[in-house]
Amino acid sequence: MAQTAEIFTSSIVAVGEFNPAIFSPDWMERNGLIGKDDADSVREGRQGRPLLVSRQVATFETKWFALQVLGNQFSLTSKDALSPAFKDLGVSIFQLFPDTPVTAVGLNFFGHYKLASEDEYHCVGDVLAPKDIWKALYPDEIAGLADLTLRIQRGSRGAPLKTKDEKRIAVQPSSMIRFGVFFSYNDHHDVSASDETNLKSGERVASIIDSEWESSWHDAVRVFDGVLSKTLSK
Amino acid sequence: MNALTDVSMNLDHFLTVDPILRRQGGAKILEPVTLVNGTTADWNTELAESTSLNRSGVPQRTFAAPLANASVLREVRADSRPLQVWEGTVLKVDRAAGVIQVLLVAKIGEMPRHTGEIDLGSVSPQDQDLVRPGAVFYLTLYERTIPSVENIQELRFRRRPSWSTAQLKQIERDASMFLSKMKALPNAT
Repeated sequence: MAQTAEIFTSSIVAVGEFNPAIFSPDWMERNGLIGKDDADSVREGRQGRPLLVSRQVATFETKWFALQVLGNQFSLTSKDALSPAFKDLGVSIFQLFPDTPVTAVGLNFFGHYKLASEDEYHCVGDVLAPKDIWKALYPDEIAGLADLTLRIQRGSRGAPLKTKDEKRIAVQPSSMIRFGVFFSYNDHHDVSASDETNLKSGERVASIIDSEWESSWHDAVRVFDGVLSKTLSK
Repeated sequence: MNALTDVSMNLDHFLTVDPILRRQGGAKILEPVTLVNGTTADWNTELAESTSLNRSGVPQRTFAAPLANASVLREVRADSRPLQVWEGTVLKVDRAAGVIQVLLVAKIGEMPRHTGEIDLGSVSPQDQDLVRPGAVFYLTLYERTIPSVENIQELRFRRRPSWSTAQLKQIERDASMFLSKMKALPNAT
């Protein structure tokens, strides 16, 4: 049976060199990235997080996204309803900065899944990380899965990788749902090397977000559901 | 002084709350974050209380000095899941009747595209000037799960203000292709 997340969200993270002072709600409104109501909600501090824009850091949030820009990291996180409007925002921001030196961009998805019972909850951890070895080492104590991260790369073992692009899928106990499992999915794209498109790095990032975000979303759902279904059927 | 406890002092001048409230300890506390060097992953929130460092197989994590750029509250808690997302295109706007005719394409699952009418009143004031034939919007039906379960729908118009160089090049390529296939009409004799 297909599993359904209780909470599902996304973030777009880019690594590079950024000028945080640019990223103000006024600038976003002026460039048509957000509407007046969203900008007003930030300026009036209606969304909880205090507006902070300086040379070192920019951080604020609207009803539907949170933005944080440091000198070396850009992070856009969805709140509330996840929709392709979130992707469009990410694309539009990088289209406005085609010359920004970016080395990598990650399309991240997160899901909290509620399991039917405590037994199912432990089943996921036991199947993904069998406890035989740990029980032998700690016979009188409890061993539990806290964090498991898988790295998925294109190619075969021993052969040189053709690309630095990779996916990282992590499984942890959910901190938000009792007997829940938390999944994260990082679709990492390396843009440090030039490619055949001859696009500037900011444009490449915009292009990657535009073309890959939705397929990454679907793949994340497929993987989260697949891991849960396969572990619970063991 | 513990490097992680004096963050709010260092950031004090950045806080935008009422100074009296701040002196009384009522200001929002900005918490330090764990920087993950060079990675685009964004999921250490679940282990925010961890005291372990340099775990094998995990990217190099370092607790940063209490500078402003390492000291902002980063964690964003979502509380909902999308049930269905439709990408819609405005076909016709009837302001007198207060409705827009739309074409809807489901983004989740296999559903046939269909047309419908949407009340103009359900478009937020900030998106009203975007409502025109050809405009693209997203209609999301989602379920908020915390603190209680409720179904909500949201309609948000697409904002893509700029054309990228890649898009412009593609348009030029398409235009050149069309132009190459066009033939001049024969002159009437």
